[in-house]
Amino acid sequence: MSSPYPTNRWRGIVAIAIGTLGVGLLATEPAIIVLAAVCIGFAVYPYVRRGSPEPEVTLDRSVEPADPAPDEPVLVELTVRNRGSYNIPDLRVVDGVPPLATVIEGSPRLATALRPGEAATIRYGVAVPAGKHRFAPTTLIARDPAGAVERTQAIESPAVIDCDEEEIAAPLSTVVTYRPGSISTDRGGVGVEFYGTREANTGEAIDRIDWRQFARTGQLVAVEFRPERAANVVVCVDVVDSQRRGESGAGSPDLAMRCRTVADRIATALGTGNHAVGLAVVGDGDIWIPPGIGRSHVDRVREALELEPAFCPTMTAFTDGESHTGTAPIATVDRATGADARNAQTANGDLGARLGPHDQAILVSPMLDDAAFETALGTSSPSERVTVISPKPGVTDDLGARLARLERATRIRALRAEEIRVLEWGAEESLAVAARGWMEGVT
Amino acid sequence: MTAAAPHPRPSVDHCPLPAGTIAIGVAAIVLLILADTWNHRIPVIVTLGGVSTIAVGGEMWRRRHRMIATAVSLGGVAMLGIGFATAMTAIESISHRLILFLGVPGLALLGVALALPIGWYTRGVVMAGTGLVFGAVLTSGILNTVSLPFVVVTGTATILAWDAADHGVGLGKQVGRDARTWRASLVHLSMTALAGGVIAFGALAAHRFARVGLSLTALVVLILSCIALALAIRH
Repeated sequence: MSSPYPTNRWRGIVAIAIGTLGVGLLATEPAIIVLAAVCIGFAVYPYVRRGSPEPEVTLDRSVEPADPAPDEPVLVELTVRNRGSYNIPDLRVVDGVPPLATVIEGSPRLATALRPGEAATIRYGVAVPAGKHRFAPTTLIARDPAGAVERTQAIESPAVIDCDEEEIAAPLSTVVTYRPGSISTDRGGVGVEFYGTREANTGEAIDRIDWRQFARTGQLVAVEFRPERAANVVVCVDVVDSQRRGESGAGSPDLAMRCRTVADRIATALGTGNHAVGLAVVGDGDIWIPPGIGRSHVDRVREALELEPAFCPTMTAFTDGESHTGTAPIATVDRATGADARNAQTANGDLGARLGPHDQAILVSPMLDDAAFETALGTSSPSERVTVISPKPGVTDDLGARLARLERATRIRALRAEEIRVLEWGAEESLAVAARGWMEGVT
Repeated sequence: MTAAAPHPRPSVDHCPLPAGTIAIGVAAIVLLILADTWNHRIPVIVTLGGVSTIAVGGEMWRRRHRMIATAVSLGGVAMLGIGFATAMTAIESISHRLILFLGVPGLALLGVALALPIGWYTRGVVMAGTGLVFGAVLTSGILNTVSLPFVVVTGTATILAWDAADHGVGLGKQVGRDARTWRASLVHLSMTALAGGVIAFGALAAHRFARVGLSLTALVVLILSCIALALAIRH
């Protein structure tokens, strides 16, 4: 718990006592003077239990089912138990609902009083989109009996809702490695899909000769197929602060979480498809995992996406942003400030230098400022090596948000003018469906 | 549990029902005690009805029944107007008219502040509403329409009503209207009621003692000493 701080809610009672006494003296009315004495009593009342001990509570959370289908209702139960030996007369609990979850039943908040050893349970239902959704710390606010002193604490009660949707097809460009994989290349070789025919060379493998053609025309012709290769992909996530703080009027923690969800699902899909996957960021921090293959490497990338504070805006919110005013809203999201432009410059240079000759990048960004935009354009041969996946911001209708959306549309037009492939993803649509539709349109 | 059912608009920043009901109920009881005949109590009852109607309208608005909510709320506002007009015109006793002139708008302000979503002004409106009810108590004490113990009890109850309302506003800001809050409200108000009971009993006992052997001047000096003590403790 934080150190206790006053709510000042009884501050005016002394003035009321003095005023009442004045009225009583002017009217020479004993009843009013006695009422003034009552007011004095209430002025002293907040100090009676002011030094009440720090509450000791534990949390126990259950999530059912923990791996739902998208938008399937999930029942969350959070039990708060008073482990101390004193009563807690006023305890307010606000559960850290994952940012992308929608509460569809009940309330994730509770105000109660707990005797020693007693417990109270919050039950509520949420629906979540596809992806991993981690609960933020639960905020507890305890008050003394008069409500004159308050303490705040954020307690971790880790739980994850892992909501799997149909696997998405990662939108990859044709920059490939020599490893066998699933991307059909645009040249002849060994593969499955027919590519073309050419004049047979001396010593040509016998199974490559088109014998029907030879029977018809007497010419020896070799058949070629499209080789299928794997890619080296660096998933680059935009974590510039303004995307999450909403400075532009359109950014929000939701948007940051959607970026993380996209990155997580792309990494999973790439791992399944035998592609090498790496991780980088645009913005605060220097997170760099070079492309690699194998389940353990993909798990490392997904773990970084889940645990690195840069990707989890709400993880820092409760540890850094404790409220110390009377009844300030507790759901304030506060994040570390950062020099966006400098970091953008760093990331821009880094990504360009870090991409190998056979690497490509999938840049996940809402494109609400220039950092990711410049990173995309700053990469060599961006039209071949960079694919942008851009979660669309919400539809807040204030002037700042409209301006931000306009600027975003301009950036995306500029990227497309440079022949960089951009997939826009709205909050209401399934990422898998959006990706499939987009890839069909592109091909 | 069903996913498809439409969910009302989230109600953070809205005073929870238990705290609001207790605060308005206690303030109404204070006014019903001060208005000592049923004829005088009619404006209070009409105002209470108006506040309840506005609360129902607010809840309908939250559930997105906008047209009906507006009609119901306008009906509630009309009842508040009727209550005040009745207090000013239909009561012959000047002293009771004066008490209700303060008390009825006070109850209306308190009710509206607690029934509608919380804004930056809510605490001020709650304070103004309970302040007017407290003014009605002082007026009844000055005009001797009720006896001394009733002045003390109704004054204490008014402070209790303010405490319930302010506590409710705090709960509304932090956990919202949908959260389960009745136990926190009940425990908090029981503690304040207990403290108020002890304080009021002590004050009445002191007054009785003063009548036996202490002059009014000595009592005033005693109370001023208590104020000084309270300020000393505060700092």
